Amino acid sequence: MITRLIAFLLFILAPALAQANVNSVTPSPSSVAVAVVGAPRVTVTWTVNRTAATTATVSVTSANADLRVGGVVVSTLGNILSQSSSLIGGQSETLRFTETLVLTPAQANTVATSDAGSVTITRTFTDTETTLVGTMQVAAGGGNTGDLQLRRIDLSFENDARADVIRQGDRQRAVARVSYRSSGLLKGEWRIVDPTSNYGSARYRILQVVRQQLVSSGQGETRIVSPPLPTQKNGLYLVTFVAEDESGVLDFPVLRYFVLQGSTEAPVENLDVVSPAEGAILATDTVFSWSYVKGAYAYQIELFEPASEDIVTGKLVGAETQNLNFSVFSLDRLKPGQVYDWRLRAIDRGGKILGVSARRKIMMPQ
Amino acid sequence: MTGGGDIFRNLSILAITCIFLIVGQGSVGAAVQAEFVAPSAGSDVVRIKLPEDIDILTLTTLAVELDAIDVTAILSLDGTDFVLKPLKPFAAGIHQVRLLDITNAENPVELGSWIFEIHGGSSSNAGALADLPDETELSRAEAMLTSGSIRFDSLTETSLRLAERNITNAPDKGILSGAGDFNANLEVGKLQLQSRANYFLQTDNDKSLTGNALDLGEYELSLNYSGEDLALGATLGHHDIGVQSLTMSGFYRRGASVQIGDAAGHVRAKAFSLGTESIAGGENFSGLNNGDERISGGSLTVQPFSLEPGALKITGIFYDGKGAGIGDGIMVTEPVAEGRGWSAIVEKSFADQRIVARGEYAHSIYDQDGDAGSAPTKDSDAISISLDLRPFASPPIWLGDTADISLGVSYNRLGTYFQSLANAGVAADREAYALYGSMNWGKSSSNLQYIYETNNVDGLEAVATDYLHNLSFSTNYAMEPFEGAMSWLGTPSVYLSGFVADAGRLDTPSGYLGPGTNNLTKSLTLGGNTSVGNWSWGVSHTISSYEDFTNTSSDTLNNGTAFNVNWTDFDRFNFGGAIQFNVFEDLDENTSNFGTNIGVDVSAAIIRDILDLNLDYNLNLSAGSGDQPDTHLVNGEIEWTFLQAEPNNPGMALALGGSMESSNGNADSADDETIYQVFLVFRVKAPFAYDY
Repeated sequence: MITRLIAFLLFILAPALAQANVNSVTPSPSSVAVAVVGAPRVTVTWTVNRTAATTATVSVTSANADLRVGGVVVSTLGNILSQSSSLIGGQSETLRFTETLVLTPAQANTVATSDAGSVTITRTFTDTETTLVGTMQVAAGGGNTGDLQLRRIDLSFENDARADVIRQGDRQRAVARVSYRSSGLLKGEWRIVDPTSNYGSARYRILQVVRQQLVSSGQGETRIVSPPLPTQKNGLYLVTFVAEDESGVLDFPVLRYFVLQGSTEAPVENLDVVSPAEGAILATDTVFSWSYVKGAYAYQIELFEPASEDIVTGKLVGAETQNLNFSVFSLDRLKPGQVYDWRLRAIDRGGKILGVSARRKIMMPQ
Repeated sequence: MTGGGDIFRNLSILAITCIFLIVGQGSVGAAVQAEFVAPSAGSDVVRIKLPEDIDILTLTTLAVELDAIDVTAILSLDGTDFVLKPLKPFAAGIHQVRLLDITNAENPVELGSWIFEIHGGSSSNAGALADLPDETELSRAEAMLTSGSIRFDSLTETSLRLAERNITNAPDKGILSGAGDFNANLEVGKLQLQSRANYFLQTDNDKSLTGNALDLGEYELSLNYSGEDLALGATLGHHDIGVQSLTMSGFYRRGASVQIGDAAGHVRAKAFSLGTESIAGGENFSGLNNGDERISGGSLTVQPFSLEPGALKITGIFYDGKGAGIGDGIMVTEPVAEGRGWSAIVEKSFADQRIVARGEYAHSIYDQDGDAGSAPTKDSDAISISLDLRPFASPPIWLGDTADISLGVSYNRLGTYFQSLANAGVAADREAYALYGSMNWGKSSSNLQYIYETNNVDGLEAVATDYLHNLSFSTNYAMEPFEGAMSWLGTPSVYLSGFVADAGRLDTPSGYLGPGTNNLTKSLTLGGNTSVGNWSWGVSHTISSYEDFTNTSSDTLNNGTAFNVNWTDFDRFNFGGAIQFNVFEDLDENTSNFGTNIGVDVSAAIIRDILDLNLDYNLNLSAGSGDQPDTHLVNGEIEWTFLQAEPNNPGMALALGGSMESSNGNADSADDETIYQVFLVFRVKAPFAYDY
């Protein structure tokens, strides 16, 4: 009688004991906010806890993620996730599956136009015997929440070119226009391949480490300028800006420039000036200052009538100084109340123009 | 008559003597008598002979001006002579030198003014033909008002890999590579033709620009006509049409444009068609082959009243086309977006340009995935208004220095769905109010800005709205040169910049289950740089922090220090070094990352124009969480030029160079690896130039 009772109880309980294998599926983060425009990325880690009923090796899998609105599947996301789990009967294990889901613009629009709180991303995990669903809340509008997300990096040289041919000693810099979402620390590097490496296996070296704190109310844009790029060796250089990107899918363009012999006759506007600001008033105590230019032997500040190339007045100083004032006899050449353009020129020992700054406006007082 | 003749002769002698004195020795009547020695050739020096008994103090009160440029700072003293060695040989033509007494800085006195002429000096175009055009050619050219120049530079290299170690996926052992660029300008009467192009050569197709061994890089052809009444133009190749707006910004692409306007410049109309992708190569020469990657449009700029700076200027621009919908390379298959948009811009200055106003309205109609996708087409608007003001007609004098102050206010509102194929990186969905100001006072220059910004501009019901307060500043101060024991500091300038940004949640929709927003970001940078003699150096430190009070992201703290130094003899040798040290702390995870990057570069003309050495060393160290192997990388080359390149005559050189990279894994010796490669390179350098 007792034996029959035990057998009956085992018969009743056996299916439950065999099926209680996937205990929990927990997404991290438990909720995300996605941008309403573009192809928002969601990086999620699914933590799956299971207990083995018997000693066996099984595959814990999930075919895909589902985007749901009000519990109804509107589209599928992602790919199959699978890990092997080998346990002794009664033993438990926690498995972690990390993925980055990319929503299409149409899916992002669905999230934006659905009621708040009604959108979820779910994944069903199975170990061939039991299944369990994990649910992550999805909210619309990637504002300032979450980690910094780099949206786009556009790379060019200062003259806007992407493939450039220059001369030895020319001043060359690259510019990265970074579009991003949210706020956080941008961890980037300017990297370059020298000609001596380009003949064979290209080895990148780090030219500069960039750590810049970025902020926005949701979307932002910043401009990062490289240090002066090397131009002493003839040959092909490759330069790029790379940044830490958790999703690992961001595209990092590569620029190339080739250095020829000789010197450029037409200098590129590639120098920075510190002061005075655009539209400043000119007086004898107005300080013109600028950043150091490698290889410069002398600097010259020149003033022009607007849209003219004829120098009205100027001043030339040696490279040991990075600022100057004009004397009265220079300003006497200018008309009161007139606006002039000014710029900086850096000159090497051989008289070659290393570069010029963009023109700024300056005004003679009445 | 004899008496009168004697008087006339004496007066003539006196007049001639005075003229000689004026021309040869400077104006009479000043305390210093100077004699000018003109250069005999373009590369010769200018000499101003001063009296031998002149004292040092008087010398310091003198200034020299050459062709309206104050060159006092670069004069050298030879005995009591001022000597000016031109940085570049004097161009052919007339030049003027002035000597001034600036004892009274407010009232300088001209002590001498001299004119000299250089004949057959250096041409403004280096590399001009050795043979000048003859009289017949000159006459013909003048009659046709024709001028032109062609310049073509190229460098071709044959490299042979001599040795290697641990190179994976090794490229070809022998490679032919090179590049060149071409510039040509032709002016015939009122027509001007300008062209430029570059090419790249690389026989290892995996390393080439486009997959072809020899291919075009970027180019531009432009033809302009400047008539009495009309100005016309056409451009083909890589260019930017030059209108910066919310609809189109920084859009330098390959395509075509035409322009028409009145000769004075009051009206300029442009039509354009540009590719949306950055392309190179000859395959899609016009850049317009692919209809899914092309925009077309036009612009119109009108300055109806005056062309003076600050006069009323009205600009309109529009475009229509298709391009990559997302444009960030994230999606495996980029959808083709369809977009069109337009902007209207008004700019005007008032009160002698003390007030500068700019306003822009833009509209976009954008379908992120085009007809093939199901995302809806969205209309959106954007507004940008700015007003800059210089409050004082005459800048005030504070503590003896002029204080030049400018203030400004701006308002920018970009709709949630504002997008443009011609301004792919625009940060939309924000409404921002900004106040800013700048001040140049004596040797200091400062800026201050406050921005209040919110998102969810279209007020979507399911979307939370966040705000951002951002206060930022920067200041720079140029010091006086240090002297005596502190002279090693040279003439330094110091700078301080930073910002504080507070972000939070402004509005949360009912039922919203997404994360909240409440964080604080701070950053501060202090630095300085200076140059003294052959040295220049700079140092900076930045500390930045991020605190997330919702605990959605980790709190972080980053400290970065940078130091750079450079030595040059301004002639043959240059040494540069830089070190960056960075510590990043994740305060929630309690982890730290330490990074060190060291770079050294040396360039030396061991034997001028014959033997050159270049060496670069880079060390990258990373420690802490997520440890990466330490990496040393050395690049070097020594080049022997055995035939100098000259205009229209090729030169040749042999070079031996290579690179070595050594990685040392801190925790795992399996990461230890040394990779090196050594090359022998034969170079042919061919500069060609022709001026007409």
